[in-house]
Amino acid sequence: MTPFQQREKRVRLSFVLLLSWLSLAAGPLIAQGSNPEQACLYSFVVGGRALRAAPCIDEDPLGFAKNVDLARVIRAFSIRPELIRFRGCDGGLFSTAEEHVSGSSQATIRYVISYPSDAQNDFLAPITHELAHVLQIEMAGGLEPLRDSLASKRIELGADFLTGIIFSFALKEARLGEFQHNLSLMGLYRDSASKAHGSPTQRTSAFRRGVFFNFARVSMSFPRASQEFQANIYGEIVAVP
Amino acid sequence: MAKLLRFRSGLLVHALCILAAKSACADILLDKLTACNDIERVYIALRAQPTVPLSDCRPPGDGLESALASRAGADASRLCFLRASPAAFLNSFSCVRFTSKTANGAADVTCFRAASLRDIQVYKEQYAEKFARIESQYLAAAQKCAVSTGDSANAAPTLFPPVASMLAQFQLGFITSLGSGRPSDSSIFHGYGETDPAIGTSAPSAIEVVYVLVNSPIRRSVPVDRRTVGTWLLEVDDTATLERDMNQQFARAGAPMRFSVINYSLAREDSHGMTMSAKLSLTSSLHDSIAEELQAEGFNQLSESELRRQTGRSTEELFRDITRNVPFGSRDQGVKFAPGFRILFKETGLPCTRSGRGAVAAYLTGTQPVEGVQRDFGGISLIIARIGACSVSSDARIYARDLLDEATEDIVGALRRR
Repeated sequence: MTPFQQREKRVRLSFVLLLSWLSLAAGPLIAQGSNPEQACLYSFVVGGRALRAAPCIDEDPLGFAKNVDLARVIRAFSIRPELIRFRGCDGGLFSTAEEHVSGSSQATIRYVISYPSDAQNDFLAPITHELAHVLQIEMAGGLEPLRDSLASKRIELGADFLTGIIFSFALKEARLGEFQHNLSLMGLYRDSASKAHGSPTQRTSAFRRGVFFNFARVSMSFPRASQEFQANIYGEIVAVP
Repeated sequence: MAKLLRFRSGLLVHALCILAAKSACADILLDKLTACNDIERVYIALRAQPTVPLSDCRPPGDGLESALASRAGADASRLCFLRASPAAFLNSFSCVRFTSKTANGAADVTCFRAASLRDIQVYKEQYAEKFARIESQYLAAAQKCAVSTGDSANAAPTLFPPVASMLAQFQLGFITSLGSGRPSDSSIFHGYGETDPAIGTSAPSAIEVVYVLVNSPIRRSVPVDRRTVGTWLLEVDDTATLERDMNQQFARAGAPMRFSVINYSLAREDSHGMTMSAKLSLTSSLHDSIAEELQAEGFNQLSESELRRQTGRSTEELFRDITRNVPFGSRDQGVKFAPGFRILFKETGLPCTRSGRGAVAAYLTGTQPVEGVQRDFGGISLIIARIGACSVSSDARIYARDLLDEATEDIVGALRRR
């Protein structure tokens, strides 16, 4: 629910009060007066496509690493491109996982974003959502700290919100309808708490709150926008069942 | 063999559902937002004729229609059950419009018909496997309508139409923005709601709803009196248009009562970690402050025994009855009444109160902060009712407005001191 809708609701409630008061009181007064296969930080599908169990190939068959739109998203999130590795999976799911790489001097962490290798034109929204998870992981200081600090639904709707901001901020030529469908379809009306992404309605709300968010109010900072979501916007979205 | 045939015929039905890009499966029919020509016809008609003449109206029928008529409250006299469907795609629906204009200039039509709650449950249970794709095709087709802005989406529960909220509670829905611009001022909603069981066992378990809204200021940026008081954000809403509509209806009905209403929404950005009870305690102290001002102005707070004598109810019973009057569809939508409310009366001291000819009542209540929204501190409402001779006195009208202004100053002062 937007703040405006809340205000409207309050106004409406005051009129309910007014009418009730009229019927109850006034009458007498007048008379007198980390497992990438578990959930999306974890995994999901677009469009209800049937899944086939098949192993991932360790390549980027659709060349997402060189995709101009995705490069723009990565830049907007201030993620270092070298930390991202895209991986196609036959019949697989969109997901994000940490990858610990042993280097010559010290171990580094990279993020593996897996995608279905048969993804067509509907990849931009879910991959942006996955990149939002990377931002969340970096902000939390790791995947485990993120999972420890926030419930799955909070994380997922938070990523949808950041995706909405990106849509307005960096992907102006993308089509709103298609973009939000590809996200909202991944919601479920019956979600298990441990993997919850939110219902299609909540996912659409989170995304649209991002699209219409006054980004300047948080100095165009994604970390601050994410904090604002967790402190206030998430509560407004889930207040309505 | 028979089993195999049944299985094949089941597959065939499902395939046909998908091919038709609409679901006749489980009777959740996704075909309203794609009736482009019909939508355009309704959209144009509403823009051209925001209200409906009485000659187009008929008396409500049985069941849902009579339940709606009895629940419409102050809107009942404006409610019009249309004799004819606004367009072919709504032929089997009951459709409702208003006979007089709303002050904000919006126009709408709400149509509903019986549906099954079980079908809605099946839709949700089998969403991922079966209905997500059909829904996707539905929304993609809807956004191609010429009258649409190209924006179709799952609808939030708060978009369930107000008239339908009197009968049912949102379960699922879809919305397309109409006209041009983003956000636009017009939309069509199609969805399903669970019917209020209190309507009776003869009522259907759910309803299907189509709602077309044009010229709505809700989707534009509405000017709001926003004030910053130290770290507090105070929104003051004098509800002028709603108040005017309401008072006009009282005047038409010859009721000796007029209202002035003000709502305050409170927020604070630096409220991290503040508990709900701490927030409620703050709202309560603001109530105290306004009540004290009113008492200084000659208002008397009704004692419990006086309240019972005048209304036949205790404070608690009154509160319960009021809560019960919230439309079924608007319950559990995040905004709840705050505990505790007060009724104060002024029966002397004004020309219109002489010889017991009139009185002024002040009704003070509030809404709770939304759980999990750190900055929200809820709201406070002050309703001033002018009763009897005071309802027609211009002095009393000015007096009521002054009381609201004083309350605003009082709240601003109290917030400044915190």
